[in-house]
Parts: sequence; C-alpha cells; structure tokens
Amino acid sequence: MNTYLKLAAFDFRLYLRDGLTLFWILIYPILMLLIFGQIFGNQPGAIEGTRYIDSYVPALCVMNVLSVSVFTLQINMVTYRGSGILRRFRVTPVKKWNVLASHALQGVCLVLAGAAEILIVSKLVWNIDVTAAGIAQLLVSILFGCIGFFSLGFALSGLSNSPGAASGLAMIFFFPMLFLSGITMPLDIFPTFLQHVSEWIPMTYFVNLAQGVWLGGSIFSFGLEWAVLAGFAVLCLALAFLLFRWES
Amino acid sequence: METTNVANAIQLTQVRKQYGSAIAVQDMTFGVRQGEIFGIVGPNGAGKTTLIEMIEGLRTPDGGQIEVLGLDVGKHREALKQRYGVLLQSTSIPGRAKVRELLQLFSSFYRKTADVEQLSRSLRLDDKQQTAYKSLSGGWKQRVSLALALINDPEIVFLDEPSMGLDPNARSEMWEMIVRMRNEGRTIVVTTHYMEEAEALCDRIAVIDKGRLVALDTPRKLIARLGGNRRISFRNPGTAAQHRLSSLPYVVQADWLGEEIVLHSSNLDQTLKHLFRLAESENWLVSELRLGDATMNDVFSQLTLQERRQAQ
Repeated sequence: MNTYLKLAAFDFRLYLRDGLTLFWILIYPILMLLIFGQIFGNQPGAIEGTRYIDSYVPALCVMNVLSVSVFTLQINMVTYRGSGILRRFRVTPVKKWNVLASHALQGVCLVLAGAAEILIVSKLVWNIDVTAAGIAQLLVSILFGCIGFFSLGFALSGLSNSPGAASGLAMIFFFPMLFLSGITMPLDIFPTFLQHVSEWIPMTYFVNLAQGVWLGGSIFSFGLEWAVLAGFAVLCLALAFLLFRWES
Repeated sequence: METTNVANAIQLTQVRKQYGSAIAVQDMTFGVRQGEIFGIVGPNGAGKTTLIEMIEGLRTPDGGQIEVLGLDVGKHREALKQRYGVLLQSTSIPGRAKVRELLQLFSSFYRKTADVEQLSRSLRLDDKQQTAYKSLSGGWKQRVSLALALINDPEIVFLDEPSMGLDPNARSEMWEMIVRMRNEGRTIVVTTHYMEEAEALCDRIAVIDKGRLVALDTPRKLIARLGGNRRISFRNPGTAAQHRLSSLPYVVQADWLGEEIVLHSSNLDQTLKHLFRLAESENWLVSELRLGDATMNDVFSQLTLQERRQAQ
C-alpha cells in the first residue's frame, strides 16, 4: 500500500509539473458548458419541467470521464512507458496494478475536479437545482463508470508507442462516443438507424444513468445501465491488464 | 548483510531459451560466486540481455534451472526482487523527477532499505537532492541510477553497461564505486561492451557468443590462454595480403582493424624478423609499429572468431 501511495503521489507530481495538459483538461469542459449552455441552456429538456442545462450537467461530467481516460490517461501512460520508467519498475517489487491504480487515482482527481467546476459554473450561470442526494447519486454513477472507461484508456495505451498514435486512437473513440451517446444532443432527434447504433455504445448507458440519477431517478432503477457498465468494466479491465506492457 | 549457506550467489544449470525457432541461449551452465564482480561480455545479439533477464526472473527459461541466493527464480521471483538491485542504462527515468523524489519513491518499494541519507552522502548526491534528473550530467545520472540500485541494500547488483557514454573521469569513478560495492560484500554482475572495463574491473568474465558460453575465467587467465602471446600492431600498408601475414612463423591470429593490422605471435622475435623480410620483399614499410601484451579485446576477438569458424 505504501508503494502504491508513494507511486501515486510521484506520478501526480510529475503530471502537475506539465501544466499545459492540466490546463486543457480543466478548461475544455467549461468551454463546452458555456458554449452549448448559452445556445440551448434554457430550452425545455427531455423530461417535463426540466431545462436542457439540467441534462447537460451530468452529460458533461460523463464526457469528462471519457476525455480524461482516452486523452489524459492513455497518452500519459504511453509517454510514461516511453520514458523507460516502467522498464525500471519491472525489476523492483512494483506490480502492474500499482502502476494502473496510480494513474487511475490521478484520473479520479481530474474527474472530480471537473465535476466540481461544472456544477459550480452551472449553479452560478443557470442557477440549476443542486441537492446533496443528487450530487451523491451522480458521483456514485460517475465513479462506477470510471472503472470501465479508465480501463479502456489503459488498454488502448498498450496498442501504441508514440503519443501521436495514442492521440489518433483517442480521437477514434472520443468523437463517435461523444456524438452517438446523447451527450451533446438528445438521441430522440437522431435518425432511427443512428439510434440503433447508439444502443451498442456503452457510453450511451453511462449518459442515461448519470442523467437519470441527477434528474431525480432512484439509483436502484437503472438495472440495464448498471449491468452494461459492469460488463464493460470487466471486459476493459481484463484488456487493460492483458495489454499492459513494461516496455515500449 | 544476510548470509546464505550456498557457495554460489547465482547458479545456472543447462539453461536454454528460444524465441520461436531462434535459439537465444543454450546449454548455459555456470555459477557466480558470492562477493565477486562477474562480467558478462559478448557481441550484440549474443544473448546477454536474455540471460540477465532470466536471472532477474523477468523471462522464463525453456529449459534448465536458475537458482539465485539458493532460491529457484521461477518460484521466488517476488522475494528475490527484494534482494537484488539493478542499474539499467540511464534513459529510464522521467527527466522532470527530482533526485530526492526518486530516492523516496524507490525506497517505498522495499521492505528493507538502506539509509537514504547515508547512501546519498556516500555517492555525493546530498547537494543534488532538489535537482531534476534531466539537468544532471551523464556521470551524475549514473550516480542516481546507482543509488536507486542500492536503495534496498541488495545482496546482488546487476549493472547493465554501467560506464556507457561516461567521460574517462566519470568512468573511473564508476569503477571505484563498483569495487566499493563488492568490498561491502555484494555480488556484482556486470554486462559490458568495453573489454577494458571487463579487464580492469571483473574478478571473472563469462564470454558469450550466439547464446553459448565460450569461456569463463579470470581476465588474466583468459589472456594467458592465448599462450603468452604478444601483440604486434602496425599501419595497414594497403598492399599486404592477409594470408601471407597470417602464415608468418608463430603468428596465431591476424586481424584487420580498419587502418591497423594486429598480429598475435607466440614468438615475438621470430615473427618480427619474418614480418620485416616480407615487407621488404613486397616493397612496403612497417610503420607505426607497436608491441604489447595481449588484452581482453584480443581474447574476445579470438574467442568469438573461433566460434564463427566452427559454425561455418
């Protein structure tokens, strides 16, 4: 455990020393929020009595999980491995899970910071309803989703050796999931065949869950969503360990 | 230092490793004694890395047995990682990390650790603690790597090309530190390209070529194996035929090293006499003549050359 905590602190310090990437990860969701919120924010939402902004807040938190995982975590892991440090760790008692969990903790911090930002700005600008129960339910579902999506990022990091190739991979996963999961616009305005495509994207279930619990639904009433996310987590976690490499 | 009741710190028996149909290491049997500096030398692709990684437990041999500190490597990989230290080539550390952070991080990996303050002092790293790794010079980077290799007060230290890319001063300091580690009772396994390093540093040297152990002895005995040969080198006149030089009396080996020709002779006086005669008859001049004792370099080129001939 000491190994893990020290490693996590070490990795996080190295990450923070690279200020530019942190800047982007904290600025991007706020830009999205202000742009889309400004355009659609006060329009009526999918559920009676809600506004678009009410569904957009949890969706953005979910998007943040995706961008942290495929951009930050994936590319960081590729760079980290490229530095040769994992090769060095391999001849110490450090285990695979120490490395993965250290980067995952970093991801959780970024996701939580992003969520806090989104909630505060939406409260100030659109005066959204914020309840303790809503926040708690949202956090539980987001953290659960992190397991699968972070693992996806780690699995992808095993596929490339250069940050360039890694960001290419990130794009391939990021944009389809962003547009086909209902994050930016509700799925009901999509053509039928695209709605069918979105049913095959795990992100869709993540968005549904986060929006559902945020808009007052019970955390226990999303059986399908929990099941899909759990299955996705198991699959990706296995892939993350399988594709983990100590050397570039 | 913990003592074990085995004679050898490392024992390999009939070890074999292949990748697909390519044999990387075969029939490897040798022991590394406790408290010696053991060199592993060989050309690129000889199997040094595979061999070391099997001893470290990172790769599993396809056949044979490896025991480290009396324990089977395959079964006690994690326990052994606590008891050895490794120095890899210097590029394996993130540049932004500070020396102190690295030392604290690595010391958190081990159950038993050296006194970090004392270790820093002994490697003169105490005033570099807040320096980022990337802004250190090559010699200081190697000191940091060495500190990380010693942070668990290891019984065995593996050094991979410890003086690669170091200037002569830093190299001789590195050698002193390695000898000091041995004098503290540690067993040192060092792979190197520099025959000079192997000769100056190692108590015994294993010469490896094409996955086989071709020789194992002290540097002095390996050199003596050349039959008390002396070394004659001179500038390549460009016109001398190799077969006529290698068939001069008492010449055991003739090497063309670019601009230089090196002859190994078991009778210096006779070979020299005939060399000058040959030069005169062929109308060229023996220039930049140097005479010397054979070195590890000569041993190495002869041993690997023999292997090549046998393989043909």
